[in-house]
Amino acid sequence: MKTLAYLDYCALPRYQQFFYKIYEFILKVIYGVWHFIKGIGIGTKKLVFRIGTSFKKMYHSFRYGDIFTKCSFFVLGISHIKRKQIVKGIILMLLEFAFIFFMIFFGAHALYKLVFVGTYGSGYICDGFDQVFETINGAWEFCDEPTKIAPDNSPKNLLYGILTILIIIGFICVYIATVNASYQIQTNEEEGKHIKSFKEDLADFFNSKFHITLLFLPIIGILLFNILPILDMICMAFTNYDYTTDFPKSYFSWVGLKNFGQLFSFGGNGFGYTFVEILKWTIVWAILATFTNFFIGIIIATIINRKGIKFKKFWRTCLVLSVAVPQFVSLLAMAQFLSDYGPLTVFIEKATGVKIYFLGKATTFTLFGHPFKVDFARILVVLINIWIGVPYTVLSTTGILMNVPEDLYESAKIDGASPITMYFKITLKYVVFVMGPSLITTFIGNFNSFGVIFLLTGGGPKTNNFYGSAGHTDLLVTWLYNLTMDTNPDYKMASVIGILIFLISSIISLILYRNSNSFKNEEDFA
Amino acid sequence: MARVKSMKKKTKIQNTIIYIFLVLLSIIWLIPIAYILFISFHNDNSKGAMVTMPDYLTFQHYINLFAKGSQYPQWFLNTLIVALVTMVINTFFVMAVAYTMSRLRFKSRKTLMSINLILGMFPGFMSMIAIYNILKLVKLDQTLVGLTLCYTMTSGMGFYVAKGFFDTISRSLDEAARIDGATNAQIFYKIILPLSKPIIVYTLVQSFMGPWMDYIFCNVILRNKSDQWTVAMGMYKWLNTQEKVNTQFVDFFAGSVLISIPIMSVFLATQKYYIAGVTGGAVKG
Repeated sequence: MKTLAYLDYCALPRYQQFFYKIYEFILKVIYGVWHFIKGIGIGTKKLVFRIGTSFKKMYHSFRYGDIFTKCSFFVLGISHIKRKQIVKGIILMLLEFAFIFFMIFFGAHALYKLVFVGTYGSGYICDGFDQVFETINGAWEFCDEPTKIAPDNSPKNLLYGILTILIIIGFICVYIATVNASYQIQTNEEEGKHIKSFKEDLADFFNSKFHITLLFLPIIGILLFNILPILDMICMAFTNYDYTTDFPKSYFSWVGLKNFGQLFSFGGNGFGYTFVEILKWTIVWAILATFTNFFIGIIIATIINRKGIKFKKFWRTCLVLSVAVPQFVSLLAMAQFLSDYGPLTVFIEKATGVKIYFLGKATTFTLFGHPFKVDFARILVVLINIWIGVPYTVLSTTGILMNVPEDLYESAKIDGASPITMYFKITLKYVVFVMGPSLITTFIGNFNSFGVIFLLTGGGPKTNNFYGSAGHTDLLVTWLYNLTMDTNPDYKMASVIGILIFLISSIISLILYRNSNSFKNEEDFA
Repeated sequence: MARVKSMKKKTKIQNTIIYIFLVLLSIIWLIPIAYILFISFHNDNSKGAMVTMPDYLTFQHYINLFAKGSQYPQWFLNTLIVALVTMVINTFFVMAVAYTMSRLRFKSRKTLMSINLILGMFPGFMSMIAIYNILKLVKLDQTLVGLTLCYTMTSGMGFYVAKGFFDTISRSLDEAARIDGATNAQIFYKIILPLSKPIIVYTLVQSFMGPWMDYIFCNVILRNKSDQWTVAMGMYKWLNTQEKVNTQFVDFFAGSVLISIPIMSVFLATQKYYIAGVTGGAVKG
């Protein structure tokens, strides 16, 4: 990146400094995207390299292996059995048979089904005909007694297909490892080295291979309940899966990049328009929520920490009590208080005659004869987020504030710094330095924050201008949630949003991490 | 002398202002909670309770929660069972993964950690519907077993705080044990685990609390099966049921107070761990 040295930057006139900052920011964004793409490239390269080396090793094993090792390439475990690792050999053999059995009776069909995901809706079939007739009349022409069938179970086909691919990948890994191991024990035998007995192998799982024992169950869990669903969801983005094509009703199939094409539909209540609008608000929300909480929290924490203030613990507990109440209680109650029949609205209406919709539609005021609209919902969610979030900041910054090096203040005092300068240049800088990385996590967390919006407004006030019943305070995640849990769910677009959220949040965190001070110089605060 | 006196006076005035500010803050932060508590004793049981003064205060709403036909005790029991199972399994998973990542060195350690980081970037409930489909295939949708699976299976991903703790335990302990012939497994449960009581307690508490607060997964997995709901889900749905809003409005607040008390006490008792989790976990991650 072509950047100026700090001294050169200071020498610029004010307005140029401003433009320079913008230029620098744009560069950083571009670099973030670039590093993201590069990261993918490096990852793929590493993967390909690793696959390459294991194949090379396999070739080597086949070339120099004796007849038993060569046989192991077709029937796993023969080499093991020959070399007295009978139990292990039998287990490997059974594993291979189980895999072949699985592929023949289940896997092949699942893979075949994955090619189209769904091919027929509900209809009628006759014996001896593969065709599915949409109407019973069509079927009557061919047979006497057509049977009614349910549509192709596309969600199931998709899941089974992905699961089969995962199992195949898993088996290939085991296969390569065993084949290479069979050559290894052959050379061990030739060199007269000790070959481990089954008992010793088992004991290894509690010592040198203990990580496999410990990680086995958690990784199975993550595979089934995180990776499999994520892959499934990514695939859904390339199908036409929504409430009209859900299982008992109909079937869905691949549509390619059509759903992503909808991102560019800006007219009317198009998806692209809504997405851009909601993305804008999400970014504004994330910035506002992060910084208001952070700065207000630090100010309150410094005030409580001030010398000469008594009952420090009491004040802190007052704040913390409010976050100790579970969110679904405090926020739901809040939503009631601010609702159209809640005390605040009612009292204000009684006193002034104006009905303010705090969490609902925009309120119209008449001031000096001119009506103007205020959208309270967006302001209110930010304010309530402060109420929810500030105690957390107070909790976590208190310890850091106590650790600010005292000598910094003293030398600043000698240099004649005012308390305000000291606050900005020392206290704040120190806290930002220490909290930097967690601030980034908080930012990403706010980008994906769910509770506050969902419980307070549910995304509302709803508007007809938006795609898929999105509302004015909807964030990307709440929109995603509403799209999947609506009475008329739109799974395909929800997964498109999910993928985009993933891309955006990983690029943002890359940019922020690369530019945070703690990343640049881990140790010293200066 | 005079200057010192005026300084003292100045700080006194400053402190008074600060005290007033702090009292105001406490009021802002406590009023909604006090209001929830107050309303839960209101004699009226409709929406009107929010804007009228009560004629008298009553415990009736708390009694209503446990009266015949109320599902509140059932929800409470459901949550308790799910929370206990989740607690045991999650703690086991988290400890296992954290120990592996912190103490053991093996070939794919770094790769696994970065894969975990990448997976964490996907919004948690993006794949909810896929999970629901999976559970449907094994006929576990709309059951508490399915919900428990949801809470427990992926818990291995949240190992950062515990790993940060394990990193601080001196390595010379492991080495000494290894010289004495201990296996990695023995080191784990004879040396590291007894030394990590605080983090075990923290993980136990955290995973126990999860089901009490979650209404998202619950909503997706359990849908309309109201006898399987957890408390959080029940309370959330309460205000979405028109008839309940009109005739059992204040019961909601009573239920909220009742459920908040245990959660609050646990949170207050473990808040110092929470701080360690926020600052430590983020830096070490």
